[in-house]
Amino acid sequence: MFDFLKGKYFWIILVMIIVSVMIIPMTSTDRQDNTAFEKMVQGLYAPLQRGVNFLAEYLDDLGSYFVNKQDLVAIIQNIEKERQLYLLENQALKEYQYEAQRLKELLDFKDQNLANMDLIPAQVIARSPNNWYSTININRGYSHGVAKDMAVITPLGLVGRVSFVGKDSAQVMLITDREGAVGALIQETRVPGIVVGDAKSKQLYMNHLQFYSEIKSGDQVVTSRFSEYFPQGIIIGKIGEVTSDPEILSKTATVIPAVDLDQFEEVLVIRGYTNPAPQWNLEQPIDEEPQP
Amino acid sequence: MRYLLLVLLPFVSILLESIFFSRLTLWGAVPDLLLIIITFYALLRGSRPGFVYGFLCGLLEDLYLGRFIGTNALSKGVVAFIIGKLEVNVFKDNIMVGFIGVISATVVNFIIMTLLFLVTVPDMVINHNVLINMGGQIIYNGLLSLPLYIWYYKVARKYIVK
Repeated sequence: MFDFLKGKYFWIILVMIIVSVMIIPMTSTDRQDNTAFEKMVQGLYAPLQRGVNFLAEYLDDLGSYFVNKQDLVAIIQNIEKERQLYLLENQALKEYQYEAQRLKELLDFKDQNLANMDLIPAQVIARSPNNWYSTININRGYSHGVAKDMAVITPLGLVGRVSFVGKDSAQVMLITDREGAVGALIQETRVPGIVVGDAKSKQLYMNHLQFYSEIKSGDQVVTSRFSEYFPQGIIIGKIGEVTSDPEILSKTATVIPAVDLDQFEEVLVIRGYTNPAPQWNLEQPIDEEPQP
Repeated sequence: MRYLLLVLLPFVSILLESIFFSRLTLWGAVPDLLLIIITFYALLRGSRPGFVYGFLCGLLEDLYLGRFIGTNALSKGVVAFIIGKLEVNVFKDNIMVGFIGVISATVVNFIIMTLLFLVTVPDMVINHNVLINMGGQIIYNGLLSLPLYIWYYKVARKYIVK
């Protein structure tokens, strides 16, 4: 009856299961640093991902070269063909124009925020291969001054925070990730709440909103001063639908992210920041000494 | 050659998922190439070698993702063990074996991963979007399994299962 105990596979499988069950809770996102094994695996993938990205860009360039050469032949052969090829070329140029525009926006944004933020631009080199987590990999690591928990943004708004740092690459946990909760508030009414994500559905929800607060669709949601990882006032998105839960005297709202988290290609990592100082009304003394 | 293939396939799968398929999603779902090759391996080799291979491949994915190490390892190991039980009862030449195996594996993997996350992450929410995403992954994995099974079966007969 207990013959299976003699099989080597039984013991191998049993040890693997026990080890996994012990390791899973120990390796949550709360830990300070990743293990050497994780760094090794990430280190193996990062140059390959950068290399493939580079190759894709090179092939794009090569494609444009052939398109240009075909243009010359087409001018002689057929005017209609020439027009079509010009259209193709125009598309390629538009792509460069959009890229230049995006980079200019990044640069402008960086210049505007030099006073209170230390920003470094980075390129997205890979996205999460797994549907359970919502992450991206960027081509900046600790050799560029990037550290765990640094905020990552685009000129349009908040993207997420650094969850793992390698030498020349880092993993960014997006705000849509289940564990990427952000302390937030509604900009117009200053109602606080917590924005949480859901990696599988790629949606954002704003929870713990006061039941009697005035919240309407289209209100802007920004990071709060009390947010643990993010500077104050970074745009997260806009309020979508609002639902009330009278039982717990609270409201929940869906938040439409300001950044299309499936599309962006460049980001800015905030290496350091200072929140603007609170504006006190200094003309009116707080405690006036009673006159004798 | 056998061991080289067994190591290279999961490595390349994760690379393809992260740089190519992550930009080509179906209802927000990325196909799980790793699960597909583990399923094929278990179908051809059986449950116990399937568990060990599935576990090691899942561990590689966990180390790459850097979070809750052991969830994918355990889940993929158990999936391979269950799928591997079919090994003696199926006609492996039939392309539908790979297709049905991958679809079953995707469903079982989803159930195990959900249970593991419910235990480790208390505020885990399963809503209709999660189910839509899973539906997308079932279709995606199923469609990819058809050409991949033909290729894998040929390669496996030559190098992996002699």
